[in-house]
Amino acid sequence: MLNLEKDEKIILEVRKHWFIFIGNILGLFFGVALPIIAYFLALNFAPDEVLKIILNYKAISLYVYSVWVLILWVSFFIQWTNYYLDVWFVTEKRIIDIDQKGIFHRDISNLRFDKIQDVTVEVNGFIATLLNFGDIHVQTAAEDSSEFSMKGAKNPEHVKKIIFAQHNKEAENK
Amino acid sequence: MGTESTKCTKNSTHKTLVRFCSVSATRLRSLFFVHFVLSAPNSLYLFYHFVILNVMNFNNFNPIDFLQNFSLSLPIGLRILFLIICVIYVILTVILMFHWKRYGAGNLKIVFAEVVYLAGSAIIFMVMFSSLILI
Repeated sequence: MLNLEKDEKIILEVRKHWFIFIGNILGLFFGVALPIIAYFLALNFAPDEVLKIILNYKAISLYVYSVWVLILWVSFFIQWTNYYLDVWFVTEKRIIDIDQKGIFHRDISNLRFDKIQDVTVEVNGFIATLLNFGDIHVQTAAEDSSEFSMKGAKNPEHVKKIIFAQHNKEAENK
Repeated sequence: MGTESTKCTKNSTHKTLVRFCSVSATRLRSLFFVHFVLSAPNSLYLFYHFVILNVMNFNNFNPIDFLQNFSLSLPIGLRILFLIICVIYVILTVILMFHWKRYGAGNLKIVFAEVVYLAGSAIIFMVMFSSLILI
């Protein structure tokens, strides 16, 4: 739940790129496809005795497969929830970093624009350059000089531009 | 006097009966134990003979026949598994819905995800249920 101040508006929502999400769920796709591939391979290459058993137990195989697909289906949505709820909200006053590490692990931290020292963007690799995603690091002027970071964020240059613009606006207002 | 003597004899017979019973019980127990120890290899052999040779028909073991016999007891187990899966699914769905409602802030994508999740789950459950009926 996001608690915004009265006159505070969200300017930008920053999430990880879909490519990062696809990378996380690739195993699930393999998990769905693998039994089907194995079934067709068995139909073509398995000895007759094994084939008889497989054909005799079609209903049980379908049942076990549907249980397996259900497990993967729920896992997919758990992964998607972790992906979708892991977000930065850039408002007019601050950056709200919601770090969804797991379904029961959620860290929320705030960073006021006047505390920002530097914003670094790191785009590393061919795919990241092509699809326009990268890591964003926001260095703070706090005593512990902690760092806000998001790996594989969508359109990092645009995010940097908006953070700087808001930072400058805040400095002008002061 | 007469009544006292009859009471005494009654008591003594009762005591001897109890003693006899307890002695015979321990004797019986030890006899059973000895019999069990002595006959254990024989029983094991009989068990092996009965289960391995008769039930599984090891000399002429046919995996298909065995699996067909085995499958008679399968649907009950699968139904129990189905119920367990339903319970786990409901718990996980409640957790996911809680997250979507609380942190999703009525976002359209979240609503879309909810619809897709529930529709997909319904299809999977229908397939699972129909295959359970076919078994």
